[in-house]
Amino acid sequence: MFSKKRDSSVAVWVMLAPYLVFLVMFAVVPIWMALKESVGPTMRNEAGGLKNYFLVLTDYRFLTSLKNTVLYVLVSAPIMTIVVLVLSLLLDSFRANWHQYIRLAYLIPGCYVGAAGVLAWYMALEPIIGPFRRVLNFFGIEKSTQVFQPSSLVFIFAMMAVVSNAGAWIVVQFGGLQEISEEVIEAAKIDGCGNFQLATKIKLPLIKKNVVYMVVLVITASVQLFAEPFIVNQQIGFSGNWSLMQLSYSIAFVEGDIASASAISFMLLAVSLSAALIFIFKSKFFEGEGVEK
Amino acid sequence: MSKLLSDGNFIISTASRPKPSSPGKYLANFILVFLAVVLIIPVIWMTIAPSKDRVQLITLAPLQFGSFGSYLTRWRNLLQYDNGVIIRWMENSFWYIIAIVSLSTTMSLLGGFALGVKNFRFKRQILISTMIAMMLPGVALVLPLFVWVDKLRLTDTELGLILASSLYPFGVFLSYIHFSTVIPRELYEAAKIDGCGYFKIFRKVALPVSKSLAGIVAFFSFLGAWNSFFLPQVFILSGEKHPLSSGLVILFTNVKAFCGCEPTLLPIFRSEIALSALILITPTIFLFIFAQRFLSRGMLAGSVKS
Repeated sequence: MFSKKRDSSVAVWVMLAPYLVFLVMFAVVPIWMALKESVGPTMRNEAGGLKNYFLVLTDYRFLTSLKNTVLYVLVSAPIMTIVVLVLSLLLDSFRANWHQYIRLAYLIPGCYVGAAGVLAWYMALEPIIGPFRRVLNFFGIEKSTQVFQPSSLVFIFAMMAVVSNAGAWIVVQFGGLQEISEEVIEAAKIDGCGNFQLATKIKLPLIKKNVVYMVVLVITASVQLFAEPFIVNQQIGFSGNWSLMQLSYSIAFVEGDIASASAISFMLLAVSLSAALIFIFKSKFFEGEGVEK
Repeated sequence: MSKLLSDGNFIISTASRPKPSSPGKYLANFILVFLAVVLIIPVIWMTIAPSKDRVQLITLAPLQFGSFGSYLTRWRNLLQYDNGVIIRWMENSFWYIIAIVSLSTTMSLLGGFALGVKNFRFKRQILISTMIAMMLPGVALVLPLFVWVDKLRLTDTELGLILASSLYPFGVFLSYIHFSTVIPRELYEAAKIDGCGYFKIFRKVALPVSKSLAGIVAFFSFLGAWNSFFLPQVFILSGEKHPLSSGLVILFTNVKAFCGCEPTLLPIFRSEIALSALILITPTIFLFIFAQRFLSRGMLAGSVKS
């Protein structure tokens, strides 16, 4: 839409300029650069081109990392979604004033994110010093090696993700549930809806958009898993190149092959990008957000 | 539909949700409380872990307190690493965070205001790009950013790290929602009739009623910058330029406190790691409590409105 007054248009663009410059400089251009870099010459393939992608896809480590990453997404995303939805629905169905402290309790572990979070949750799981050592001992788990083994890593990483992020998502989904009008709930009750039916037939469909938004963000974040396997590997080993992002990191900074690393990075980016695009256009994200035409 | 229902006289609307049957309620509350306890116990345990040395960590009961003096001992042990470089990292974090948070908050408020008050050409395209950027996980951009920042010859510089960390599309989106929905349009119209330009409206009308928005944007921007360790780890090469988050990762890597092989002579073990985790989360916790009343509103505005 053209503005009637030129000067006000100028003011708007001046205000937007810093953000747009940063958006172009630190999102658009880097993505373009990574794409360009990913078809550049490498040690293995001096000609460059799409062959880089082929070489990366057939790298002996790629399949393992891909399997781990996919498994991680398949484990963590459903657990996260179910935990968040069940707890938000419980909080909404059985409201009480003291529940605000419960919500706070769910949020606090989220402060342990990044490097500190990984190490802290790692220690908390240790059967010798951790807070749950008696429970673990009861089940016959007495040594760290019984907890931290290659086959259990995916569940440990998923647990770390759920514990630190569920609280914030519960606040979001609970907030969405609170916006459902009382009349709708009353009407459904008069029609004979029980609590369970109310939750599955009325409330969930009404917050569908929020839920899809959460699922998309959880998946895009899971695809890029890096911190947990990276730090665990630095401390105890055996999770090197566990996830695709880690593989990309070691190819770039251990082997110095930026082109092949960019190829992996770009493929991962493409997954997240498509998820975001599909969500934005399929769910008609804009409607109700005041973005018309 | 809700409008239709509220017009009917036969529905007696009550202020609260339906009163469910007791057994269900007890079960629900039990689940809610149980999970809260399970989540809080490790947090308490991590907070008191530095009060014990590495032997007490095993011999004392998990939630038994050691001594206050032990916190000081842990701190002194951490200082032994590389001549107390940890202090330097804290100072770095402080300045990086101030720069990043002020840059990203300013950009978000200005950009969000521009998008929120006026319809103009390319607005839709800018909003779509913002949403896409908002939904991309930060990790995904680290390598592409490195490639680009390296071309700009800004690797291993404070400036490179600050600039690359300051893009914050979520803040712009949040501000856009705020300025386009929370503040009534009439307010802008009135100011325009009074002869105010957009900058003046922003300063005199919009900003004074948007303090909580500025707080939320700054808070989330702080969280992102404070916790990010991957980006600085990749961008910064010299040890003394690191912020605390990535510096500690390097410290832990060099000390290998977990593997039990004790490759260094430094007394840095699990209690010391627990203390550094505590140091890392303390500012967040304080801000969290401080900002709590804005939080739910902010996160909600950031999510989709249905």
